[in-house]
This record gives sequence, C-alpha cells and structure tokens, in this order.
Amino acid sequence: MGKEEENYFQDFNKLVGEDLLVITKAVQLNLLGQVFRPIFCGTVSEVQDGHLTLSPVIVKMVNAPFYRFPFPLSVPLEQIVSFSTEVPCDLVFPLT
Amino acid sequence: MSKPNESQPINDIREAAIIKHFRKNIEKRVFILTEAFPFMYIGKIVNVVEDLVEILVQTTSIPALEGKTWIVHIHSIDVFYIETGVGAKIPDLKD
Amino acid sequence: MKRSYHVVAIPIRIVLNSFGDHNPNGMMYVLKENEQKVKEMVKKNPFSPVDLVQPLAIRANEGDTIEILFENKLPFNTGIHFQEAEYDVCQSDGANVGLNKDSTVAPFKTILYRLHVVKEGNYFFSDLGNPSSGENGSNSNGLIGALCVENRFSWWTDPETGKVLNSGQYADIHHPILPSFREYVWMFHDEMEVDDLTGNRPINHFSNQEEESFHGANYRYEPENRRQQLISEGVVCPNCQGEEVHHDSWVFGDPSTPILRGYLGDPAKIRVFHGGVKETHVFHYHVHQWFSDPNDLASEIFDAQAISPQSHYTIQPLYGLGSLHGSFGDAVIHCHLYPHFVAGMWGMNRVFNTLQDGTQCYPNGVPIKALLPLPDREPPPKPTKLKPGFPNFIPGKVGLKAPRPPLGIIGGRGLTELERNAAIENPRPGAVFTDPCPEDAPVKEFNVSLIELPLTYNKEGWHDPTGRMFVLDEDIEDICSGKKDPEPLVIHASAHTCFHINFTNRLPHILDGDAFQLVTRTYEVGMHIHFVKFDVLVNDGANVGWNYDSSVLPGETAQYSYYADVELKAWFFHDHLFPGAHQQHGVFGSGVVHPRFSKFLDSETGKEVNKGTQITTSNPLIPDYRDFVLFAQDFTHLFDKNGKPLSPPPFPGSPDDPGLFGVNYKNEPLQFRLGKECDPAYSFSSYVNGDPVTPILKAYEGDSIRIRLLQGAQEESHSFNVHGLRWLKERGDLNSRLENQQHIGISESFTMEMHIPRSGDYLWAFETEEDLWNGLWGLIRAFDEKVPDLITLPDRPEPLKRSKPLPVCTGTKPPPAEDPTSAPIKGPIRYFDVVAFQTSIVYNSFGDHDPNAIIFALRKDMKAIKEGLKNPEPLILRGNVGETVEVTLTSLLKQELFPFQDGIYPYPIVKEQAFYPPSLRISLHPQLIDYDVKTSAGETVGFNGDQTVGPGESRTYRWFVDSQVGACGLWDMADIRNHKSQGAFGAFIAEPRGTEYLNPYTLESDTTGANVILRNPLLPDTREFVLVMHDGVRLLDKNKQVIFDPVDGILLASPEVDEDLLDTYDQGSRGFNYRSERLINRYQKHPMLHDLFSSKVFGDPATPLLESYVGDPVTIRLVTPAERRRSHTFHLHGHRWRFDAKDSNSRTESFVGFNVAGATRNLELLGGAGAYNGFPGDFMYRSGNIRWDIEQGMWGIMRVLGELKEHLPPLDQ
Repeated sequence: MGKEEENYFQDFNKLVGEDLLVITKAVQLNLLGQVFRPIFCGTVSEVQDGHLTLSPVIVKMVNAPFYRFPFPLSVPLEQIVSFSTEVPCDLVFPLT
Repeated sequence: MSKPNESQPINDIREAAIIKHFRKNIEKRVFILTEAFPFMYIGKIVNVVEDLVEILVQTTSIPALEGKTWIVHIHSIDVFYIETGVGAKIPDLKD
Repeated sequence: MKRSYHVVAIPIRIVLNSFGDHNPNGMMYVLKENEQKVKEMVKKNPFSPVDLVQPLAIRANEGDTIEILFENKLPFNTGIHFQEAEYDVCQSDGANVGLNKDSTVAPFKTILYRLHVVKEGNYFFSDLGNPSSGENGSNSNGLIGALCVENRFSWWTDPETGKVLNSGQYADIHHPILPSFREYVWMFHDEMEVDDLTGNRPINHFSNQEEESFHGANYRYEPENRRQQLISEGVVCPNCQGEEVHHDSWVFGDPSTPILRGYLGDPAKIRVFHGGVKETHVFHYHVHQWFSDPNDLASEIFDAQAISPQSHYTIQPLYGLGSLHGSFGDAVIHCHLYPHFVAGMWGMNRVFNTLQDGTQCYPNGVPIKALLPLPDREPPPKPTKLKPGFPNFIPGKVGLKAPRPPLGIIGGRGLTELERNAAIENPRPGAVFTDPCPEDAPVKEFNVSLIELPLTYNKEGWHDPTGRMFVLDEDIEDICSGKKDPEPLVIHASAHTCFHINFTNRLPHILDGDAFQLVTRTYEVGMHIHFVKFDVLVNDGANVGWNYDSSVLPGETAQYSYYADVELKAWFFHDHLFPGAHQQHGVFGSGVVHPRFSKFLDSETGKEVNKGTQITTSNPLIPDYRDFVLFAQDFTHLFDKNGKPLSPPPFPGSPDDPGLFGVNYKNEPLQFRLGKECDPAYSFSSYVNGDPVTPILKAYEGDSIRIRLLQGAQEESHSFNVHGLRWLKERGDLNSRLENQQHIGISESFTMEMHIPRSGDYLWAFETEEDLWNGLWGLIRAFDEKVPDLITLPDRPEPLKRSKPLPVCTGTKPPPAEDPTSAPIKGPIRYFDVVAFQTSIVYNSFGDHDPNAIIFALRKDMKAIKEGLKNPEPLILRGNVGETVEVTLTSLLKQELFPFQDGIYPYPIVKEQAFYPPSLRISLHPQLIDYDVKTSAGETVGFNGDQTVGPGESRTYRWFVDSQVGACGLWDMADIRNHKSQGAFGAFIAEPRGTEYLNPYTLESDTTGANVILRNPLLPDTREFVLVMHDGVRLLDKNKQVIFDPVDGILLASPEVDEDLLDTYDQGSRGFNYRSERLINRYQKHPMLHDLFSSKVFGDPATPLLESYVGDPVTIRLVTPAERRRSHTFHLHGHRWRFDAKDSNSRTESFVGFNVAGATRNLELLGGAGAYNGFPGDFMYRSGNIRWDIEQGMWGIMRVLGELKEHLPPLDQ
C-alpha cells in the first residue's frame, strides 16, 4: 500500500497507549443540561473496526476544559469529523 | 482489522463493525450521548436488530422517559461507553 | 425527589459593613434551623456584619418537588413567590391574586408551598404580601432569596468544611459524571434603608450631604465614602484621595461584601440575581467571560451584562477561574454603573494559586479561611516560605496603597526574590505571573495617552471644558490644535494579536471643580481592559484587593500587554482609578478585535489605519464590511456657549443624575431643529436643518456593516434602535431571533451585523424620550451612487458614477416622499385605513384618565371611540409572512386639543425642556418588517422625503412582511414630545403564512385587537395576547388633578418623598395597553396590602384580562414602544418561555428584562396556559420593579380556566 493509500484509522492500532484529540459531528452535546462541544482528548485504549476508546479521557467543557470524565468513552469511527495526534491533552486553546 | 475492498466501502465496514460491537455486548450496561433530544441514555442493551439497539433505559435527562425500552439508531450515537466487566463502571445515578 | 425546607420570615437588624452602617428594620427569610442562632448572633454583634445574615440561598435538583413550610414572623401578611417554578397558583403563588385563594400568610401563621422545579437554573423568590416600594415595603428591606436548581443527581457541600449544606450563598456542587464546581450566589439589591452608627442617615463626608442610596450585594455594601473617611481622618494611606484606593485591601483590608473564593482553574457558576426594587445594574467581572446563554454554545460572549429588577442569570466563567490563560489574584466584581460602584456595590473573586488549609494569613494578619479543593481536581501546591502564593509574595505595606507592579512602569522597579519565585519563567512588562500571549502571536504596539481638553458637543456651543480622552500619541498634536475632530479612541486589530500598549498619563493632577463636581485630585490613572486576556495582578489597569496598583502618575508610562484569543467584540477600555470622578468627561475607548487576517482601511482614502470609529475592514475570506463604533454617554457635564451649566445636579458632587447625554462626544438636541416652520415633524430632516453633528455612518447600498455598540458613561440605561434594518440577536447563531433594538448599560458591548438592502437615510437613535430629545441620534447613510469621500468595499462592485447631485440643506420643508404604492408588486396585499386623532382615555375604574390622548385607530372604529362607546386600545395590526401591507394614515389632529401649546409639559418633564410646539403632522413607523426607508419608514429623516401627514392629509406606507418576526412596535415619529407618551403607538404582529385571526369571544374574523386566536392549517390554534408596556403618561385623576406618579402612587409613603426628588425618567404614570391598575386607588378603598391584587375584593383590574383554558397554546407579544429611560422587567407567574423563541437550545425564563423604548419579545408559554402541570387559576403578569411600577399599576391577570365557560369558546384542537 502506497503512502497516499494508508489507512489512517488502521493507524490507530499503532496508537494504542498514545494521546489523541478527536472531534465528532454534533454541534453540541448535552450532559444533564451541561452543554459542550464534542471535543475529546485522551489515551487510546482500544481500537476496533467500528470504534475506538479513549481512557482516560478529557471532555473539553468551556467551564472546565480539562474535565477528566469518570469513565472511558468510545467514539464510533463514522462519527469522527477530525482527529490529531499532535495536540497534547494539556494544551490550552480557546473553545469559543 | 478488516480491509476495504471494491464491493464493500470502508464506511460500510465501520458501520457494520459498530453494530457488531453492540450486538456482542447484549445484556451489558451502556452510556450513550446523541446530539438529538434527550441527549443521554444509560441502561442495559437488550437486543440489536439491524442498525438499531434496544435499550432498557434507566436514566436519561428526562425522568419521565426512564424505565422504558428505547430503540436507538446506532449510527446516530456520538459517543458511548459499554461496561464490559473490566475497567470503569458507569455510575448509578440517584435522585 | 421531594425536598423539604422550613423557611421563616423574620425581622432582623442587618449590619451592612464593618463601619456599622445598618438597616434597623431589615427582614429576611431564614431556615428554621438557623432562626435562633442568627437572632442570637445579631444580638451579640449589633454593629458588625453577621455571616448568617445573608439572603436565603437554598438548593434542589432539576425535577425535584420542593415543599416549603413557610412561617411568617413579620407583623403583616407575607409570602414567598417563586419565579421559574411551576406550582398550583391557588396554593403556592405566595400572593393573593385575582380569584385565587390567598397564599400569603398572616403574622405567626404558616402555609405549605409545593413547587416543581423543571429546569436547572436560578429561581428568584421574594415577598408579594407587601408590595410597597417605600421604606416599609418588604422587598427593599431584604425579603428576597435564591433557589439554585442544579443538574439532576447533584449534591452540595460547604466549601470550608466539606459538610453537607442546607442553605448558604456559597457551596461546592458535586455530581457523579459532571465536574464539581464552586457555586456563588450574587444577589444585587438596592434602595435599602440605611442608618449609620448614630442611627442617622449616612452623610457623605466630602459633600456633607446625605449619601447616595444603598447599592449592594448579599446584604452588604462597601461605600467609598466610608473608606475615604479613614483617609481623611489620617488613619490610613496618607496622601491618598479615595477613589483610587476604594478597592485596595492593602489600605483597608478586605471589604464586607462578597469575596468569591476558589483555586485557579476551578469550574464555577455565579448565580446572579437582582433582588432590588428599582435600578438596572450591570454585572461586570474582571478577567473572565461567559456565554450569554450557558445552554447555547453559539450564543454571545459577555463580560459585562445588565440585569433589571427581579431578573437573573447564571454566569459560567469560560475555562474556569482565572480564564484561559490562568490568571490568579483578585478579580473585582462590580456593578459598572459608577455611582452604584462608588456607593459600595462591589466584591471580588479571589483566585488562589496555593492551598488554603486555614493556617495562612493575609498580609494584614487576618487568617485566610480554609478552602477545600474540589474533589475531582488536583489540589494546588502548598504554600512555602519561598513560594507563599497569592497574596503573600507581593511586597506591599499594610495601611498604604498597593505597590506598583514590577517591570510595568518605564523606569520602574524589577522583581523581588519572592516575586521572582512566583513569576513565570520569562516575565516581561505586563505579563509577570502569567503570560496571556502565545509565543507565536503577532505583536501590535499602540502608544496611548490620556489627555484633558475642552470638548464641544454641538453647533450651539454646548461643551465640556474639562473633557478627558484617550488618544494615540501620534494624534495628540492634531487633536489639541483642532486639526482633527476629537472622537473616542477605537483601535483595531485581528484575532490572535498580542497587544503591547504604552500608556502615558498626561492628565493634570487636578480635575477642576464646577457646578457639577468638587475639585478632585485624579493624580493617577490606568487603562483597564475588557474581554482580552491579561495578568490581573499587574495589568488590570486598576487597584483591586491584594493585587498591585497597575496605574501610573502624571508623566509616567505603563506598559501593558494583552492577548485577543479569538475574534472579539469591541472591548471596552477606561480608567479604573478615578472613573467615578472623570469617566463622564470622556475617559473611555475601545479596541475592536476583527476576524484574523483582516486589514483596516480609512473609509475615505483607502489607506491602512489602526484606529477610528468608522473604518472599512477587508478580509480575504469573508465579506468586507464597514465598521462603526458608537458610545452612548450620560452624566455629561455640559455648559452652554455662555458658560451656563446644563442640567446641573442639586449640589456639586451629587450623584443625582447630573448633566446631559452624548454619543461619541456629540449630541444634536431636537430643540434646535425646529426650522423656520417650527414644526417638530422635520426635526430629523437634513433638508430643513442640515445633517446632525452626531455620527453619520456612511456606506453604499448593498454593503455589509457592523455597528459596535458601547456605553462609555455613566449610570443609566439607554435603548439603541435602528430604523429599517435588523440583526440576529446572537450573532453566531443563525437560529437566533431578529432584532432592531438593544438595551445597553455602561461597559456592555454588542455587535450588530447588518446588510443595507437599499439606499437612503436610516435613523439610529437612543430612543427613550429624554435621550432623543437631547440629541442621541444620527444616520446610517447608504448612497446609491459613488461619492468622493467613501471608498467602495474592496470585494463589492464599483457603484454607478454619480448621475445627480447629492441633496443639500435648503432650510425649507422637505419634498414629499414618493408614493410607494405606484410600483407593481406580486402576492397578497393587506390594506389598513388608519386615522390618528385626539380623544380621552380612561385608564381604570377609579377615574384616572388622559383627556389629551392621541391614538391610532382603524377608521371604522373612530366613531364608536369618539362617542365614548369604545374605550380606546392601542392599535394592533397583523399580517402574514409573504404579504404586502399597505397602511393609509390620515391625521385628524387638532391644534386646540393639545394641552400645552408650547410643548413644555410641566409634568412629566425631560431635561432641558424647551419650546417645541405640538405638530399637527403625524406618522406611523414600524419595527422589524421590511420597507424602503425612502418612502415607508413612517418618519422624515435625513435627506429622505417627507413621510408625515398634516391635518386632513393621507399617505400610504407599503411594508413587506418578509419574516415571521412576531411583535413589532409601531409609533409616531413626527413629534416625540407631544405625541408618543400621549398614546401614539401600537403594534404590528407578523404572523406565519396562512394564519387567520379570530376574535376569541365571537370567533369572528378580526385582524386587530390585542386578544385573538391564531388559526393556521399547519399549526395548533393559539391564543395571542398583545401586551403594550408603556410609561411616561400624564394622567389626571377623577377630580382632574394631575397625578404625580410615581410619588402619588406610593403605598405607605414617607412624607419627605416628593416628585422633585425623582429622576426625570421615573416621572409619569404607567401600565399596559392604555390601562393602569394603580394600587393606591385600591388601598384607599380597602387598606390591606396583601389584598391589593385580589379580584374578590376589588373586581378584576382594568388592565387586559388574558383568558384561556388549561393547556391552550398561548403566545404573548410584548412590546414597549414608549418611552422613558427606566427599564422595566416583565414577569408572568407560574410560566416560562424560551429566551429566544426561535432557538430550541435557548434557556427558559419567566421574565423579560430591559423593557424600554423599542423592546419587543414573543413569549411562547411552555406547556401552554397553566404550564406543563396544567394548573388553572389567576396568574399575575406584572413588572418586576417594586419601585415604582407595580404600585403604579403595571400589572394584570392571565386567567387560566379549568372548566368550560359560556363566554369563552374553547380552542378547536
């Protein structure tokens, strides 16, 4: 397989144990009234054909940008809009 | 990992895989967030039919919608977590 | 789940600060478990504040049912009325309204209230048993409180002890799957009775006059006057003046007012409530920003937010405490209205960077109370000797002014060892303990000075001899020599800019005294900034708490540094050391942070610029736009050309509403624009009077424009209106509603993004009567063809070459506007034949009336009105989206029917009253819908033709209902003094396509009337109630004596109150839809305060009775076409609606704040009549202003029927 044909998602397998920032499709999500943009950053703990799991995972809430979610979160690959391995989870950046 | 081929685009593979993942975890507790109302479901996976997951919902953002079976379209799930017995548990939410 | 509280209303002495100022007749709600304790503590501490004496704050979770056993220990009936909650109005309203059972409680009796709290948020509660606004009323004396409703599954603990908490203004809130956060209740309130230690009214030691009234938060205030006394008595801070150290803890220790404590990065919610009775305040919080709607990530970002009485909101500081860049220290929180700030309405948010376990002390030896870290966050490091943490590394001396920051002042000092230990790795001027600028951010440098020079406001020579303004250093000479016209400084930059500012104090040491104020030594100043990110300790341009004093002396230059992280609105800057003394002289400016990669061009020459109130912005990706900045001003100290002070206060230094108004250091009073014909109808005409000196915002037809709206000074509400254009309420959200009016208080900032569809002159105005009268208006001029002094927007086609000369001032009557109906159009047209005439309006059954009213009515109704068969109501017109509306207006005004032929009303008055004879011409101006301003704006503005009609004349306006905007105000623009408060207003309602309107009682088709059923094939039948809230009315009583409202309407009034003590803009009567149910009339008949809203005692009120059945869909259309500057809150008991009816993400509310001239809202009641739980009964709608609205008749009843009644056919569902 040539470089341009590389499967990025399959590369996740190599990333198990690495940090990843993932953004999904929703405009905003709502946890019991607390709304936040779907931006998640965490360590890839598992990759399967349809989803990957981040554990531990930070949910980037505007009032708590480094909120460590109390359990892991899995993201269906088809919901992912974009991701990067080059954004450290402790990077401070604007969320507005 | 499965590889795409001409007869099966990669998107289909992923969609099929996530359905399979839910099917594999029937009887387990699941946490689901969707962009659409009521945004959150916590409950037990009862069954998976086609691309729909049947959940006995313990908790949503709306008390009146709880204690009921909900069918959720798997491809509308933004993020989720399934308790597998190893790793963290989904907390029991009590009023 | 069910929660229970036992609440007692008790009399209590409230000590408001450590100087012993107190309210001997205070009242409070308290939990039964604390009743004895608080009483004992107050007994033991009669002259110092007692912690437990605080507005009651209780908590519950979303979805809970709350049972409140309420016990009354006050000597009159009281109750608790909860906003936002759903409840059985017959059991739990906390009031005695209409035909309901009385749910107030007699002295020493109890009642059980049961509430359903449906949504997370702020639930304000207060007493309605005693609605008096005076010193004997319950609300101003403290009978207010807060119910905080948390997300489901939350619990809360004491931030100091970690123990479970039953009540209290500070709590840590926890949750199984959401972040823990600090919760702070911030309860603004005002007008409380205050005595000093001697039992007398506090005296201002500077002016020797009675102090400004109480303005505080959470039963505390910390007046400048009190602290200044310690200076003048030589106790502290030798050689200090007062205002510059008002917030300085080094000098005085911490204030008695709330200090909201947390650690760097802690998530927080500030539950802001307005429990006061009268004033609109502006909540401003240094360093931090928040979404205007926490439920909507597309909503506007604020850092200053107005709040009107009995309203509330939640502030969730973005990125937690310390904001994005992690700035620790003291961030002051205050009402930005300077007289209130000076009076003591401030506190702070203290952000620690080291652990406080109770073993540390402040520099003055006062122990720092313990503060538990939030359990789901890393605790901050423990303080050490070398790194003691804030504030103990700052080299200040107790009793003296805070030290200047290291590195900040050119020629100033470096860092001490402790400072170096606390600093970041590479400290630099303005960024010592945190650096807001990322390394790669482009730097933009500005050299800014503050100077004093005379400012001339208009052609009549009205001037401020001691104007003070910010300028760029390179412009000082041109401005001082008169080459450049002074305007507020506005600097421009793109997002992702690191600002370096060299700020030089070029003011004289002394601000001279005159009729307005006493000589004040304003010897040091700073440049405080909003919105941008900065190190609060060294760069606040202020002197707060245990921070440094980041100001400079005359001749010194401070180096400040800020970062614009994203595109921002116009960020406000001003001095924070002496703003009360001199901001009203012009000490304000703004920076606009545009989208990244923007270029800023001089609109005349096309050259690149970095400043200006009117520029052109060009961007490679988004449409280019004109950028305009307008600053409203009040308290403007002006003298006429002969040196006579204009509207001076009663004595120099009085905060009692001194001076006049301005916009960008200019005004254009209407009294000078009568022209030769002496007709007010042409006051806005440039043909008659030339263009105004106020800003004319220039563009070409088709241009995009952004108006940046700010208020630079000083205390009052203003209502900005643009005629003929509109914008999205939330700029980032296409689901947001359209508006063309915005209330503004000082320091707020709004961006209105608009597109100009057609050429012509568009009026912008601060449109309350007194503002407009005194000249707060100007034009947006959209040219149809090329003009030499305006470049084309770089991405727009070149306009056509000029084919005809531009119009010029002729001094004569403007030509009539073209007839808009001559052009052919497609689609349905709806016609209205409207007449304007004078008549008497009876406002209530007690005979209060306006014999000289002017109304609009359909011609077919005129006869019945004139014959007295029909009591007039405001004209309500309706049309559907897609329709063209043609309104033919005829004036039948008669000279002899005007009560004051010179236009000078003895009551209610405006400032600078002058000859302005009543116009016999009249016009009809609509909001929000679409029309060509050159023919159908219903006003004669700029170089547009005449659109008013004289006696016997008719003119047809053509309006397009292009969007379902709902409520639009309608009003006359021909004579804003002699017509509007007299009744020349109404409303137009833009309804969905295909809607029919039915009379709710006869079910006959009816396009007018305030109460209709809307029937649409695709939508549920809906009851529509139009409420027109208005004030400034001159009423006579049944004996034909003028009613001096609000004073004549005060219940239990103290004898020293008279109408001369009132601000001009409080004068006049008020109500809904030409009706007013003044409580004083009822009280004179039956003097029982808690019965005053009862229909069982008095029959139904004169104000509209809104009748429906349980569950009926109901939309209330609320408009405020007229007229005074006091903003009113609207509240409907037991119901909520979405703040933005167009946006399903919107928060829900039971109130509408800021009802002031031009405000409109559409309230779709959630769950329909009776709300989700379907409670029948009488729900009061009313103003939230205890002082002076409810007493004066601004209330009515929505009657939700549980059983079918013969007179009201049910909806056909």
